[in-house]
Amino acid sequence: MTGENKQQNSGLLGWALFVVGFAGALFVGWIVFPQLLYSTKYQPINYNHAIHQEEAGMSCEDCHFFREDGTYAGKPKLAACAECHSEPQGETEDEAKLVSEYVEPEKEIPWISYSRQPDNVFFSHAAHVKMAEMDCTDCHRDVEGQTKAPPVKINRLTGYPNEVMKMYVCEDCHAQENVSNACDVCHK
Amino acid sequence: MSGNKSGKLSYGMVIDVDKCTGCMTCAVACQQENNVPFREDETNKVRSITWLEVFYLDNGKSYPDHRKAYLPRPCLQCDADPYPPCTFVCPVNATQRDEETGLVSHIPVRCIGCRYCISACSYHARYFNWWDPKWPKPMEEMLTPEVSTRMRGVVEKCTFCVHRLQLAKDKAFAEGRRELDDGEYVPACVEACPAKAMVFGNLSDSHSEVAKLAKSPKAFRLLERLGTKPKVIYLSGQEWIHKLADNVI
Amino acid sequence: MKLDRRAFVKLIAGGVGGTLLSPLPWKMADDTAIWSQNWFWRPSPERGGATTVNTVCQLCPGGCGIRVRLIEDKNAVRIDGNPSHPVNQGGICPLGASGLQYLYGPSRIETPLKQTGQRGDVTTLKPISWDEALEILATKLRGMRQKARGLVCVSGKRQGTVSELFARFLRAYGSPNYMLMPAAADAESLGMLFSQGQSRLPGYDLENAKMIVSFGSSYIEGWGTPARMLLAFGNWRKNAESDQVKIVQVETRGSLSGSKADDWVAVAPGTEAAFALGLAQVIISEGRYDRAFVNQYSHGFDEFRRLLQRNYTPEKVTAITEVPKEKITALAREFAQAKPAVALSGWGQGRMQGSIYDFLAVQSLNALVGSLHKPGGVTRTPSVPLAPWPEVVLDAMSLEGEKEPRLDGASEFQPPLPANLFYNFVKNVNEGKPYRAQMLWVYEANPAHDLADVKPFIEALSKIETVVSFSSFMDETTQLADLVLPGPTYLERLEDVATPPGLQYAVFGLSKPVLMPRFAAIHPGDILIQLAKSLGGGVASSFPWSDYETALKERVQGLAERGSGRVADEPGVEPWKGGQGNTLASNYDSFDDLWEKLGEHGCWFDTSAAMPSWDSAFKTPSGKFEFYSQKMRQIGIRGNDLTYLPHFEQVEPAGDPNEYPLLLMPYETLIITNGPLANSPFMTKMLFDFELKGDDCFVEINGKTAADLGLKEGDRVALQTERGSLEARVHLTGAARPDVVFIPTGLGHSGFDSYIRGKGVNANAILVAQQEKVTGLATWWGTRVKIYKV
Repeated sequence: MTGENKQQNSGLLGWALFVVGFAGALFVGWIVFPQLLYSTKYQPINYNHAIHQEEAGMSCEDCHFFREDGTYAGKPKLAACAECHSEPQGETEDEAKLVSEYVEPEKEIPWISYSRQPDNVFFSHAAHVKMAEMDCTDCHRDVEGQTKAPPVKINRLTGYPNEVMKMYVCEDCHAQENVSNACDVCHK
Repeated sequence: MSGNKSGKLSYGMVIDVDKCTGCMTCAVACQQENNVPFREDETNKVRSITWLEVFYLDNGKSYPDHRKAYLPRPCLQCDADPYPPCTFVCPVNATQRDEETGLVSHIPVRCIGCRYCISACSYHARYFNWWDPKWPKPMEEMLTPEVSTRMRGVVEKCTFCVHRLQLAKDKAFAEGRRELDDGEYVPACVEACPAKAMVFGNLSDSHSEVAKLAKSPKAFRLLERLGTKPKVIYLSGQEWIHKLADNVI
Repeated sequence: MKLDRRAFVKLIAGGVGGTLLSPLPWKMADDTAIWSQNWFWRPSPERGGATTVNTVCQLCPGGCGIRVRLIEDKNAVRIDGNPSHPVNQGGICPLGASGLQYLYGPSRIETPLKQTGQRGDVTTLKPISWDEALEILATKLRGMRQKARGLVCVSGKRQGTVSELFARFLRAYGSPNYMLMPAAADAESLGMLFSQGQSRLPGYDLENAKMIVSFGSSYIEGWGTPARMLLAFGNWRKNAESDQVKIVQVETRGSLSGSKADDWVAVAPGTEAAFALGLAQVIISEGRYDRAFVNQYSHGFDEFRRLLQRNYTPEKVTAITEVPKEKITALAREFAQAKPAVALSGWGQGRMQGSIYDFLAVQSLNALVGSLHKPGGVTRTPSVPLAPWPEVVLDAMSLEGEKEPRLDGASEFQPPLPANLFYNFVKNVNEGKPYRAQMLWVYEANPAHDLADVKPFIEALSKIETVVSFSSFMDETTQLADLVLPGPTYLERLEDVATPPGLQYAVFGLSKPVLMPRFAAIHPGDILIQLAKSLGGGVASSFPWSDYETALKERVQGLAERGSGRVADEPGVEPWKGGQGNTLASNYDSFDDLWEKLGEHGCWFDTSAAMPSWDSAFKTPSGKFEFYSQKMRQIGIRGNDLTYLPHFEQVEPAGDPNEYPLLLMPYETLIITNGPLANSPFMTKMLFDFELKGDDCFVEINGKTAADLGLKEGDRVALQTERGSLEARVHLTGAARPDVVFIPTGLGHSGFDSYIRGKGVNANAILVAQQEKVTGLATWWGTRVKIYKV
């Protein structure tokens, strides 16, 4: 009996260890790994979308617009900021930083893109926004009313932000919408 | 007749060999446009990358009956049915013909460098990166952002400047147009040709200049007998050039 | 309780199970794949908004309109042709297309340099500040002002306001020694003076010609304005077969120009002019010449006819040129019939001065068929109505300089010829007469590599105390300089571009900085203005402007005041279509408007200057076109009848035929650049492996010659001439005439960057230049050579 008991005990322990291993791995895989995989970067200036929309009365297109050649200017240049912020308008620290560190020395702000695609991808905003009439928020975070620029999670292995759309998402939608999935539609 | 299924668009090129002056501007413009790497010694032509290569031809005769001609050779964007030889053999689907445009694409990041396509191509139009490309320091600033740079171990080739099609479509879409106007999409070589010996356009549109020229009695294709159906068509009134095109290159 | 093996396995199994149910393995696999696509050393081009800026190319005198594509207004990523520019109509040449490799090239010089050790040692060329560099130069110039004549300037740019500023500086300083790199234009302007009474350059109305006969001109390989010629060629070949323009190439080597012509006439080496005279003889003896012109507007026709009758009958010309006489007769008839027909002169790319009589022989053909100053023929390049600068202020010392003879002897030459006798200059410096050259300035030129028969020049350099280079690149001449003042490149500076060579209508281009200068380079125009100011006296007064831009604007005022011509702002203009003398509606209304539009589009052109009528065209003593040049007599050139008539006088190639049994002839192509620059990596890459293999370049020889010498394809040989020897490999081709060795020029650089350095050999090192007796102009089309296997 003792032998059996021993065996039983050890069996239980074994299964307990199995659960520990299982749960531990799940914990590592779901919680720890993402923490390790991504580094967190903060925007050089904590841009406040809400204040620009509400108080300055600006529209999205003032900063995010199509260039004349049909390409999309995702992030505004410093010149656009400098139009109003040649001197601080308010009293926030970020604005003071904008003026002293960027506007005055005429240095472009090194914004970090949340959705920078790899070099080999050609993404046409015109095709999606003008032709397919998609909303910006179908792919991007809704910035309306946002007062803080969220930190950017950068994948340590790939170097791309976590919000970057993956190829299967593109392919699925193209297939659904009966749009060509030929390589050279998106790749260069 | 054509392997290209839509039948609406079939981008092709006509090169008038008699008009070609052999100035090589097409090849230089191509290298600049497509971030083609260059090395100190490029005289081993088996390993030198030239998306658009210029072939030397001569009639083999002796002085003073000797005549020569230069023949620019981009990727010929074969229209063979059902597949061009190169895409047929690719094990990873890195090269493919876009059936809407007829363009044969090659996506270097997907390529595993097996070089099967190089041996399949009858025209030496594909190149292997034997080395990592290097640009001496400030020259990185002259790289075209619309064309990604390649790396050691992958194949690359002429794409008919497909990024120019992407840009042209971008512009058309932004203006609310689905169709491109004539001449909105032209590869760099054609645009640069000072003698205007190269014409580019839609072969499926019978009104286009390329389609008309392609029907000229002077027209020929390289190694026509292979049935690869190149979408690059050459013109020449010289019989010896026609003969060489079929047999030697 | 004990952790036994089974339990441990369960722990691991649980771990594996949990891991598989977590995103970890799948994400890792995916991300690793993405990671593998991004080697960090592989450059990622900067993205951003693209703009296109129009400017004008200055890599050769052609002045094509170009567009530079910029990313974020700072990275230049493409140069292509500007479709609105009348000269190149959107086309471009390989040199122009690879322009960014010069802008971003590794051989750019970043700061002024001073030689601190032995001249020629690049490692001791040390960076100094601009202030120091200009101070060194100003001090030296102040010190030698009493012997101002000792300052020599060699410019590779024949036209434009910066070259004019250099010439002006020398004059104000008191030196007569402003020299130009030799070119066919030297013979052309003299020839135009002798036959038409004015030193103007010919302008060819090629776009309207029905037949073109080129006497050794590489018409699609760099002659004239390359992109214009290539465009014209495309147009000649555009028509249906029956209606095509006929092109005939008269040349010894089977060049591309010959192969692409309808007919290649393979003349014996150096006999192109004899062939031209043979054609003239047939045209005259068969009465096929333009009687209206010959009877009323020409002088000395009878003397010319008699000379031809005596020396240039088809039989005699066959003996000289080795072309069958039937061919001579047939071609002459065709040339006389095809109206309008035009004959081109200027050997190769037009970089060789050549014989004045060769030019006159070809021009007399044009005269005979009535093609002078007629559509489809040859006229003269119109002048651009720029406002003159104020007169140079001559002080005591510059007045002294005015009286000094030039170092090339041009003014002491009997009779004085308004010529550029570069080889006399080299010879005189080496002999130290008539006085010492103390300081040499080199601007837009690389004579230490680019000058045919370069060795005597390099020797001459050692006799000159100070050599100053204004080059942006580490070329061979700059390596031998004592002081280097690197200018900004053409994409970083403001400069005008004059009407390119051989054009029939007026063009004025404005090249402007399209991006921020990469280095703190100072514009050569500004250097001169600053130098002049620091020298004071008449020199300072002669340079009253605050900077180069002001000086340039002052001249452009003249264009605005004239109010003619248009800024080229729309594609498809073909200024040759409406004919010359056709006034275009101007599209600017003030100087400011013109300046702004020039900046935006890059080019002004004008067709309002009509080709002169035969009544007014000739400023000769006879008032007519002079087959027999009274103008030469008037200038004071003494000789026999032959001296005043177009004739063929072969310059015997240097070298004893017994010792050097073969003939070495240089050739030029568009894919190997000559002139101040060396090939770009993109261009060198396009050389075939029978042109360049490893570091060896090839010389072309005929299979028969190779068999005689026991040579096989690719054999390495030594080429030996009186001047020295070089090694190359042989390429056997039917393009080469038996017993002639053809060598490409433009290779064999020891300067510039590792993409071109040491590739091939410099043909100029073993060519021997020879001077024509009457004019002193130089030819180097052939040198005797022996070759043997090594």
